[in-house]
Amino acid sequence: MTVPGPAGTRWALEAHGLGKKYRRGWALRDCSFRIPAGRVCALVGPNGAGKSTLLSMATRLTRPSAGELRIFGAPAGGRDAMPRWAYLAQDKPLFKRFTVGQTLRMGEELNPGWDRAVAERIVRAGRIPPQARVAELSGGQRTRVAFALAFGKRPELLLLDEPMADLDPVARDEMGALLMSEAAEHGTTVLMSSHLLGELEQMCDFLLVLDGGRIRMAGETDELVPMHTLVTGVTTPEGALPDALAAHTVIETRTAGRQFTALVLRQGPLNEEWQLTEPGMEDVLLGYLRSPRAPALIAPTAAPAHREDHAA
Amino acid sequence: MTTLTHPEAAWNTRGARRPGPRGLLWLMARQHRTALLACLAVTVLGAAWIVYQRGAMLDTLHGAGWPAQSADTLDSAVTNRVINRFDSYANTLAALPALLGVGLGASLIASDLEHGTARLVTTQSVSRDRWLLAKAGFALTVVTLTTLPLSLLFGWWRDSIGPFAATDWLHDSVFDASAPVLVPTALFTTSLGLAIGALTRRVVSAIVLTLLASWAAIVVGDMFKDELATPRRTSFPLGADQPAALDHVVQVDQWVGTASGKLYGWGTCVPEASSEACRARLGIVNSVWEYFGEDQRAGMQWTAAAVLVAASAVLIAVFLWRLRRAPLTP
Repeated sequence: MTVPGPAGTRWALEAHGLGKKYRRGWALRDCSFRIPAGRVCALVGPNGAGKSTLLSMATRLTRPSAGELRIFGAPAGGRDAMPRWAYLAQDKPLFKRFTVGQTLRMGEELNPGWDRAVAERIVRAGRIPPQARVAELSGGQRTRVAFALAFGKRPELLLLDEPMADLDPVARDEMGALLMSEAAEHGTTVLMSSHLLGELEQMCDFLLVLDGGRIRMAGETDELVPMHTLVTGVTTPEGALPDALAAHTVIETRTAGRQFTALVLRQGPLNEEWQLTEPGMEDVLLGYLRSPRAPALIAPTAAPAHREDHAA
Repeated sequence: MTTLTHPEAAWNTRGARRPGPRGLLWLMARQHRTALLACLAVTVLGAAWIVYQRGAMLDTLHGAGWPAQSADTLDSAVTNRVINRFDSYANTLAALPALLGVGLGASLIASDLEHGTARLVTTQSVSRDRWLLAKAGFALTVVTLTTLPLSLLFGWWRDSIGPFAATDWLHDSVFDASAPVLVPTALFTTSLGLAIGALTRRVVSAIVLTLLASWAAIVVGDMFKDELATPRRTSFPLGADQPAALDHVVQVDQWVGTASGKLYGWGTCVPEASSEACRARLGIVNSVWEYFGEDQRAGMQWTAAAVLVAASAVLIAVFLWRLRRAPLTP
């Protein structure tokens, strides 16, 4: 599945011991992970988990306090890395007094690899005239122009900070489709933070879950989600969970009367007396986010243990 | 350019090489177009006004008989009107740097920091350092191109009306409005606006603080004008007319003194009934002046220029130091 990046590295984004300390404490601490090129990766976590901090370190809007971050093998924020990524901030800042045409002209003036055809196609598909002032656009239209600016840069890695947060359902659906088709067409790696788990489930094939400034889960969706099972069964007469469950890693449990439901990370075959169901991505994510004490789950693909992979 | 109404047809720019500035220069010119046009208008209108006023003023003076008659013998109503009009223009021109600092410098970077467009620009393919240098370079170039022609024309006007230009060439605005001082002052106030904008990151507070800081800097600067050169001292017999060499000097201090050079305050012996006897007793025979000669003017202006340019360099360093590595996150 993993496609090699143009510079010969398979990893679009790689963090080693990455940390960011603010005055009130660590926003992100000791994060090591890697995202293979060509994936659409969801960046999930509660507010304050460190998602925006991670994205702003990748874009060098802030500098890490510890560790390093590489984009396609080159240090993030270096001059070599800059043309290779594009960033869409949550508030989508644009020059309000520019027209749409001037906004795209800015992209052309500031990016050596600018693809005018791609940018114009995206804006045109939204029926936005080039003479329209940015200040007069609707939220959805502004997002579309910001997307056009990002894709016009022809990035290999697209970093999106809650791109759909302020859009109405129709615009959200439209932007989601646009993102997926453009990313698929150019083989762009996408890292997208969002709270909309349902939509992420449809779009993303890779997961990076942050909570409290640390990595809780990282890896391919198809690999991580099936490792879990939703178990429903009957508690012991004392109301405790059956001992057999302790053989597995219990992420989250709930009991109602004598019945329990548990999200477990299987460590072997499960007791056949229990009722077993396959959880969806949303179930697994919510389970982990609701249980801060559950152990972190980092798939080997997402763990940058072997430094020789750089040159692979 | 054809007028196109159909949105599809309006995107007709494929492959066309566009004329005009490129890259960051294009962005500076487009983003700060209003400020740029305002500066251009000030320069053109201000220059036209100087040319017109100078012509009108020379006509008035020639009509009154100058330079055939000496300036002192002209109708004082005419000369006063001329001096006042020139002074008021000098005052206006001397206020221009503060206006540029507030109008251009203060909002130049604060606006990008406040509205998030700093993040937009620095996440394209230009480094933050290049963007900051483009901003500072653009602002300093624009204020230089605005103040330089105006101050040169002003100097041309001043030189052409000679004795009517100013009674005190050091402390009147005519000193601040000439090229070697006006241009560096504008560089200073603009750098001040940039540095304050980088520190406050808010347009309104940057404008207010730049206004206050420029005003304070001008007040302090006026206090130190006499330190720009070493004043000269001369003596002449008490009661005699002052020598012609002292006609256009700026007096710093005045004493009375003895033949041996001992100085007494100007008021010494004045209130006494027998001041003659008092002076005779103390041996006071001379009037002593401390002054700046007009030939010192250029040197003092260039010294002021050097101080202002050095201060601007410090402020630009503050601006870069504050923003080169600081987080740009909201």
